[in-house]
Amino acid sequence: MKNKRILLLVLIMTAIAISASGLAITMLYHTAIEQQTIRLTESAQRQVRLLKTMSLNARFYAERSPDKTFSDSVLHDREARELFKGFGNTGVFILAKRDGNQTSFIFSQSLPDARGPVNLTPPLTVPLAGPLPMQQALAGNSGSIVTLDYRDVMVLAAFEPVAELNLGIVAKMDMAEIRKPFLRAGILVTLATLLLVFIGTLGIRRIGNPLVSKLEENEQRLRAILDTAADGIITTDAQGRINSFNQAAEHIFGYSSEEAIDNNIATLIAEPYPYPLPNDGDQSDKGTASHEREVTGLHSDGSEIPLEITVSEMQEKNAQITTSIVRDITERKQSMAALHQRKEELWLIFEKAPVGIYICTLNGDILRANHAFCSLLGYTESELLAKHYTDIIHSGDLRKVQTHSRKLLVCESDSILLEVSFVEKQGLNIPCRLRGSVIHDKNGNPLLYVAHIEDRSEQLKTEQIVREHAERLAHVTRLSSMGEMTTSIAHEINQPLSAIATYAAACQRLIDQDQPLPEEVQLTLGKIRSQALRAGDVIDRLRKLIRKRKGRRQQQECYDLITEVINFSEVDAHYHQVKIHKELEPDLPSIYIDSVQIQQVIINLLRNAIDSMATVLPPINKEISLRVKRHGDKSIEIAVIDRGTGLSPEARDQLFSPFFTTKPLGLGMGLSISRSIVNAHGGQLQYTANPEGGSVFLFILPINARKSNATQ
Amino acid sequence: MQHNKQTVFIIDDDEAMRDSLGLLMKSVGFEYKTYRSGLDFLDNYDVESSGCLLLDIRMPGISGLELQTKMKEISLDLPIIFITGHGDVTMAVEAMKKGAIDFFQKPFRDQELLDRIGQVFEQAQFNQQEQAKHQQALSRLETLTTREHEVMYLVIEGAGNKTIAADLGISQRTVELHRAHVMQKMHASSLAQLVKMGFLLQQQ
Repeated sequence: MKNKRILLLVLIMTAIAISASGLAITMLYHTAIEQQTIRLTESAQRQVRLLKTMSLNARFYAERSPDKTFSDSVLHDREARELFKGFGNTGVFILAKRDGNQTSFIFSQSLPDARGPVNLTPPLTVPLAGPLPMQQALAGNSGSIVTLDYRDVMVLAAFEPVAELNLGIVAKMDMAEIRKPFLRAGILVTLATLLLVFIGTLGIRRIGNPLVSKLEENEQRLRAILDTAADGIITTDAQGRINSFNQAAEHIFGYSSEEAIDNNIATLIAEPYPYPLPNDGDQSDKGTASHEREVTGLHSDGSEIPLEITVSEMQEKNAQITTSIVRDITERKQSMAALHQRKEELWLIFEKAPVGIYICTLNGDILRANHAFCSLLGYTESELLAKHYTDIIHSGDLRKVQTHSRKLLVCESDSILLEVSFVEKQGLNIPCRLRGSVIHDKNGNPLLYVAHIEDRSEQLKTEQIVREHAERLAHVTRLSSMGEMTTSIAHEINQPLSAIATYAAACQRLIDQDQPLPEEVQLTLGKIRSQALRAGDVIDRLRKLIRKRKGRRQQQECYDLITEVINFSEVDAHYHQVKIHKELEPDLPSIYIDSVQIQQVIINLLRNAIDSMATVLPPINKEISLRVKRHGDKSIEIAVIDRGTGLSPEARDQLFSPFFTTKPLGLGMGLSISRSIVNAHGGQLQYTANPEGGSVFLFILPINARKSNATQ
Repeated sequence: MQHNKQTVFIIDDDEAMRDSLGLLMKSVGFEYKTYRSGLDFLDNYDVESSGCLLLDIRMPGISGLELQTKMKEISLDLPIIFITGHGDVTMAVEAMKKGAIDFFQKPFRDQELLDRIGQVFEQAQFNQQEQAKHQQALSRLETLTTREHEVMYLVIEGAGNKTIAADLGISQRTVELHRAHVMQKMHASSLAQLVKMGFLLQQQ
């Protein structure tokens, strides 16, 4: 490539040099020929004049001395001529006479040997026709001609007639002689030129090549830079015509550089082209560069591309070059948009969170508070931001909050959960659940407190309602089980009443018989009284159980609790001919319970046991065990064991579901409520099958449930 | 009224009921014995004594109904008056079907109960006499020979001597002889008396 170029250069240089020298030589040659022509013409004319003069002389002499003939004249002439110095080496002077239609040559003087005798050739006669110069001269013409002479040699000849004497003179010279110096000069010049070209080439190779290759290298590097540049680089002229279009630009716009070049750059941008304004951006000696701008580019497929473009203009010699650096910012836009969206989302999450959130410094100054928190306390955000956390937390809770916050700071715990009352703008207390945590910086140093606040007032209200509902439901259930027990209760009351009636009747009869039996009557009256009390007792127990009252937990002796339950349930058991067997471990502890509720559970379990024994026939004893014993140190276990029909697997699965019942008239709430009561006391109610047949229901109660989360 | 040998057996698990019922029986001069349960009664019952049961229908262990069934099983045939609670009509009906004399719902009117017991005792006495007659007839029947037995049944069914002779393939004379023996052995003074006796025996 490089060599070819150099070769071409050499060839051109050679051609130019040769043609220049050729031209010069040709011009010189023509001048020389003209000069020679003039010289020859002058010689010929001079000869003519000489001949004329001589002829005049001859005539004069002839008039005076007739012996002198023309031949003498000619002889004189020849003699004179011997003194004449010819010209060149081939210059010939010829004199001819017209002899009718023939040309007869008188003499010719061959100039190289002009000093010798004039070679007077015997008169040669040739027809007087043809282009030969002598013929021209003899025809009376004068002039010059380049022609072949009789020797077939190219000559330059001047011819002149001597009309009076019928003579013609020709002076001629071989062209070869005229040409010779020019040929020599031409060869020399050519050689010199070739030498110069050779030297020049060598010079170029020595000096020019490194320069060229450096230039080429620079050019290549520049192109490589342009092509590998991440940004599209487009140069245009003052009219906006694209001069260059790098690979990145091709990639961005989807045009190949061939397609793009010569098009107007304005077609690549959806809006007016952002040429730099005079006061826009940097101005330097070299030109003006605009600030980066965001524009919308047009891709070859018609889609729009977000671009960032920097346009700079510079003056180069007398052309203005505009360079546009274009960057596809689709991804940046997208990531910016994503980032923005993420920020927005985070902000929304914070701001629109259903729980109140506030952030405060380690000193307790509130930095941010979200909408939920602001509206919870009734402050505007700016009002809250002016506050210290001690301003919004109930003074009674401050110590608690401070203690736990300290724990957070020393990393004793990751987060804290506190029941705290906040004070709203009007001064009212709002019970809340505060979940606090600490944000650390990169080095792990605590930076900020973050607190999540959940308004508990609704929840507490709901819990209250739920509790009331539960109590009401428990009461209904209690009444319902009382309903189921009506017959038993009636029986139990009927028993003493019947006894009383019978005693009274007997007394009456004894008195009527007039037999003085005061002792017997007195004894019987005492019995009547105790039976009446017994009936009252039953009613009293019943009333105690049915009475609707708010559940209240208190310390209760296990023994008393169980005895009371058995006293009551025995009525039912007795009526159904079932015996309740108590198994009470000695020294049972007192437990902290709602005795009405727990008794309800036990009575319910006993009732179920009695029901399940209804269809059982001897030899199985209709006996239910109520077993109470310690379960570890901290709880007691209460079990009701029957030997009734037991439960089918299906029934076991649904045992504790509300409205599930195996009894024809059952409500299906008993076990469900029992379980919730036991759960509320921090215990659990379980069913197991009795290996001897029947069922075992047992529940474990913590001795002190005060600390459990149970509702009070 | 002759019910000296009749006893009221009071069976109730409730002591006050037992006691008050006893006192009531005592006040009208009835013999009585109290038992705390069905088993107590079965264990301590004197086979020789007779009377009626005042039985609480609802008791732990063996209930009144179960005792009734048990007594049938061991052919202890004593009239039973049930004392029932308020809602035990179903059980009472069952008891009546099984042959109870009556049932009284607590609290009951003392006079009604006492009257009923009196009736039962009278009935029992009558039954006892009937029973005695039957026993007597039965023991007399056992003294008959097989042939005499056959003759007696045919006579009761109203067959004449001629028919009997033809049926048994014996002579009329022999029939007359057997008939005389039957009348004699059964202490029947007339044919009507023999028929009555035969009826009594068939009833059992």
